[in-house]
Amino acid sequence: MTKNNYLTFLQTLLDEYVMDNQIKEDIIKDYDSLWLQYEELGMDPQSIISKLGQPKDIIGELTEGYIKKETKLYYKKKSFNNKLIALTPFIALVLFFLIGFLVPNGFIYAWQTFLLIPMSAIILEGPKKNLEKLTALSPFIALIIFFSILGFGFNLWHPGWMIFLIIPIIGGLNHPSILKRVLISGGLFVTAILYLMIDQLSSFGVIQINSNVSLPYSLFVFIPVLIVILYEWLKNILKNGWMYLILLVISTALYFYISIEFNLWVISWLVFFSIPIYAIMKQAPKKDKIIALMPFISTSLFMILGYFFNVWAFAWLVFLLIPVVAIIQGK
Amino acid sequence: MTTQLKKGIIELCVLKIISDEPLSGVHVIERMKEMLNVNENTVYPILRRLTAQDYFRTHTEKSEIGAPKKVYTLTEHGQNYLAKGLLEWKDFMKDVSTILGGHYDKK
Repeated sequence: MTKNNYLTFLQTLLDEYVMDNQIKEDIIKDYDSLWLQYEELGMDPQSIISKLGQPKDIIGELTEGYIKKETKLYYKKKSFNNKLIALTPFIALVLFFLIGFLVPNGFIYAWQTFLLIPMSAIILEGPKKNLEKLTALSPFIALIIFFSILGFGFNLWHPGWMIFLIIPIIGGLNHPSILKRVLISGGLFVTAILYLMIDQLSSFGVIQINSNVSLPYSLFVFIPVLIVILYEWLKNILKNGWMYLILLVISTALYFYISIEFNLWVISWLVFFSIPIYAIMKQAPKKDKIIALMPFISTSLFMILGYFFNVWAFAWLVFLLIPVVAIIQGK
Repeated sequence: MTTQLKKGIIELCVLKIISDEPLSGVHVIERMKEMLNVNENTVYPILRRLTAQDYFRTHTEKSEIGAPKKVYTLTEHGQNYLAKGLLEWKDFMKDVSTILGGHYDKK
């Protein structure tokens, strides 16, 4: 390495720090002078470098007390994002009342403004990869499209519920194996289209399926793709413990028993929450358990209050428990 | 010996060497190397830091044939800091000698 190369490399490293240009110039000038003085003593470049140190080895000492430019930018951006996230509950509240009072029947939709709270956190501080970000956002996107557009907008509650299939479809795209991506996401997408076709054709009378059983029967087209997803899931279960398998069997048996015996198909699926709840209880850190459990508790309360007490219009308020608990826990 | 402690001792040595006579960076590095087994790379950053803290003032000595040399001289502020540092060092050494020599009150 020549003197010029040495000084250029040192300059490049110094430029990565938030440091006055005069100080940087001074350091370079000093090293230039030190190099020349050693040269006068008859030293070769290699020996001089061993005296002065490689730029990458001395940069830490030379920049002690200074921060890197990228670090400064990172903290500036993070601080701005945090302020924005902190503001979102207030923005959501203002929008809630604006939509509620100004739009006809606005309060039917207005509760969705509170979804902005977790959505803003995911967008600004969530996963870095776009696909992972989209996966995290997909339940909220599905919820908004389902209620605001398909449900209340076009009265397409059925087959509008199928929009929720975007959650596993997008989620499946994150799988490291291309084959599994095709099987899960592609399979689910094709199956959804197939189901939609059977459902629509039967509803228009093109194909004859007993109207009382058309919905459950046409759901059978999901079986192949469900087997693939179940296989993937079971593989993980077998790796991580039999308890999940036992819970799955019990939940499934309970699901069918409650649904058939008491005709509670609308809410019986809640029993499957036992699996993620068990996982959270087992794996989440103690202080984070209640935060992780809140979405399941809120959804269960929402469904129970809505179904048994017919208070759907107010029941959504229980979802506010999610940010409230997180704030109380100091998150 | 921890890096921080070593750094503090080298800092004190650099201050002491320059308090005896104004020296250029190369001379400080070489003198430190002669007397103490230190990594030479660490000496210049210490000189810079202590200069920034006003313990040294510098002037450039131009030479007819060679490269100009930056010469470091101890300031009054530096002298006070060195005196305080030497006092702390003596107390510290006295305590260490007491412990290592086993001349302390074993309760």
